[in-house]
Amino acid sequence: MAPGKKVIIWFLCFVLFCFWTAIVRAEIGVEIELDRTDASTSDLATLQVTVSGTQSASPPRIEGTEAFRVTRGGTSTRMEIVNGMMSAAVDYTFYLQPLKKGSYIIGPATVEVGQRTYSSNRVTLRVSDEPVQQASPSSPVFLKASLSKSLVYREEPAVLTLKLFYNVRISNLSLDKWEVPGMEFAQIGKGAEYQSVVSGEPFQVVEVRYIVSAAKPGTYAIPPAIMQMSVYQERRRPGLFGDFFFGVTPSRPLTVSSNGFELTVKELPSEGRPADFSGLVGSFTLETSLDPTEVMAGDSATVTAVLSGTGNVRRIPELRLQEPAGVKKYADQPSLDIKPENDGYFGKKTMKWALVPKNAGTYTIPSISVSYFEPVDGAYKRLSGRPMVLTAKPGNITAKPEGWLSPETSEGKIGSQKKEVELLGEDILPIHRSAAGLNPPSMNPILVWTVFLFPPFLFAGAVASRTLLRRNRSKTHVLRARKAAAGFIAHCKSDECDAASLLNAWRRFISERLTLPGGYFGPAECEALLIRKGLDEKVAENARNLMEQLEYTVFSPGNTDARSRLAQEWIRVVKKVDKGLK
Amino acid sequence: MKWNALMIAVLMLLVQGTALVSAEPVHDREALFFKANEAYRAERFQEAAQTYEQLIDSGPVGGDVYYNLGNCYVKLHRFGPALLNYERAHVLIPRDADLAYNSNYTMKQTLDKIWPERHFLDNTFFWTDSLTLLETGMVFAVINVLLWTLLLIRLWRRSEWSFYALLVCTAVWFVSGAALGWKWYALAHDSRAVVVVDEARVLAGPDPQDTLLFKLHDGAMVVRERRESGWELIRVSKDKRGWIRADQLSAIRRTGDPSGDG
Repeated sequence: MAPGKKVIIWFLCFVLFCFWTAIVRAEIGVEIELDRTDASTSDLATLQVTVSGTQSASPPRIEGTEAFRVTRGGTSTRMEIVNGMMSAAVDYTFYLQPLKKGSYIIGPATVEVGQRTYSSNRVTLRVSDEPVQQASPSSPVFLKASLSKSLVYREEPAVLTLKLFYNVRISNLSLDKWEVPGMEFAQIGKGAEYQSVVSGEPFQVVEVRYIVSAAKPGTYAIPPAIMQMSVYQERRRPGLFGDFFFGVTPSRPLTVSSNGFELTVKELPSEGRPADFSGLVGSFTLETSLDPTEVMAGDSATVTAVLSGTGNVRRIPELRLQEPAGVKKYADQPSLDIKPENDGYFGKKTMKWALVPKNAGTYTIPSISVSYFEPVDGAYKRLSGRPMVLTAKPGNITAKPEGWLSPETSEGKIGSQKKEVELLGEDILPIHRSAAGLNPPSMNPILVWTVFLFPPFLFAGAVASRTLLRRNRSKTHVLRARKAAAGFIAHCKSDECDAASLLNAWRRFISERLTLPGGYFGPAECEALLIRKGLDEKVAENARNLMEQLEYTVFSPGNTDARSRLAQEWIRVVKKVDKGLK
Repeated sequence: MKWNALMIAVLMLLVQGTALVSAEPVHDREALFFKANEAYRAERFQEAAQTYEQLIDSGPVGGDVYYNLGNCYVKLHRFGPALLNYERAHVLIPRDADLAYNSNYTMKQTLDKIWPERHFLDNTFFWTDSLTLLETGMVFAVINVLLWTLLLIRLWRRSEWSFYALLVCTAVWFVSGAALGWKWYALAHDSRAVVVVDEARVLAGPDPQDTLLFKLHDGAMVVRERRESGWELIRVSKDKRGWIRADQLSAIRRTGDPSGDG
């Protein structure tokens, strides 16, 4: 390697070493800065967080931004040498949109480098709710609003038009919805987009229309519309690399607002209000038709009434058709179509009735009418269809149009001249005046629980006493069994003891000892019974032999000694049996 | 002797309980009731409403008082409080025709189209809609007595007719018992409430800055789910839930009325 090259390499190494030590020695710091100290709720403040001394810090966390809508504005890195010391830094930009007025302390911003956390200073931003500055046509983006009328009647719709003019690139448009208690805002369609020229400059326009109405009279303040978007500002001069990087800067949030309005809503006049007025307000037309005008008796003709127009179309009432005598009427389900138009809602209600003349003749169908309030003239008006004439020729009288509601469900019974009871007014029924209803129905809780719990307790008591009774009965049997042997022995020792009584006493002993219901059993049965009850077979056999001997002795009694021996023998056997059965 | 003493003690408790229940200042309450009725008749509806409210605050009242109070609010064009009191009256006088008519009339005056939610058990025990809790309890009590009587009979006499009667009675006992239980639970846990302001904003969270989801109007009936620092999470339907300020609602079930009636 040439000495010159070695020198260059060593020099570069030295420079790199110096750079490295400079970077290492640079102190890490975090600083936040606001572009203003005062702002209104529609302003946008720019907050810059600078992390110096490193480029490997974590993204900053900023405290005190809960009252703002925060949008990230981008990140930039830089390296600089100050007083011979080199340092790296990262700038983070945030845009803060205040949500409500107040004085807010923003910060500190904290970043983490390695295991350590660094904190910044704090800044203060005072937010007022002063009116938003109106954008002027000289701005590249501005918003205009207009109201079709500032004085309307109750439920009369007005149209609010909102136009956004812009001649820069924008995106992420969003509009804060209006919130006016008592008022309804309904958007018409999806909006339109077109070009316009303002003060000689071409602008792109986005237009949105809303129908505005109020159900109650009063003066309503409609606040300015506020629209938020991202704006891409074009660069004025080419960058360092000419047109290659010439274009747009990163987006910047922008908020624009329109002018506000006041809308006065008047009550409908009570003067001249028709009795059948249903609350319909707007401009309407009524068309009626009869098709065909000539039918056979029993066949049907259709009356169609179409009430259409703009206004509070949801209130279009159901029309009533008074059928002439001798004609059956079948009403169809009415249909209502509503669609938003440029001047408000357009509604069209179609009602149909099938008329079936029962007999041949000429029938005049009374005209259908409806009243409404016309805001343009400020007066109530009545629409009436023309009277129609239906001619029926002799023919079928049993036909009934299919798919129509029966007269029972629509207007009355077939063949009768009865009419549906017409509702002339509505109100609530009166109060209850009797003091009987003053107190709530109540029952003594003790009585309630008694009624619920007494029957099961009674049942439980009955079951318990029954069980007790049964248990006592079985105890009696046991006692009797225990005393059976003693009874037999006592009988044997008595003077009245003879063979016959001994046999009876033996049978009684067996019955009581084995708790049997009693009855006659012979020696063999007795032996089998004793063995079955668990007695030793020899003792049982002995008892059987003695019993056979006793039965024999009954018919040949013998002398007193013989009876005494027999009795003694029996006492011994009974003791064995009694012991063996235990 | 012991049994006799016990029976006397039970009887004394019953008599004393009845006396306690009836020992109320009846005359004052009657005077208030008639005063309110008179104010209503003279079309002083605000005064009548206040008097009925005073009567309600003084202690448990019958369904007629709630009904009358509802009428006052209808006359004052306050349909939310009117519906609220009609619903309270419905608990106590469910079969009252005037109440049904006025309640329907008031429903028609409200702006929001809301279909009240019904639990499937409400449909299962549909008849309890027409009965008060006390009446449902009395039905159960009668069947209860019948069931245990049949069981008692069968302790000593196991006839065929008593077997089938017991089968039927057991089934009815279970159904009426479940209906009583559901009625009590539904009344004690009634979380329905009525919007009592002209317009109430329903937000996505319990904070005025949260997104507005929808609006409700006077008389809209909602179901309360949770309360949090002056806000209530409410449900109108499965897809319409949100937070509303608690002072814009009034619960149908009054605090301290777990069962609605006696």
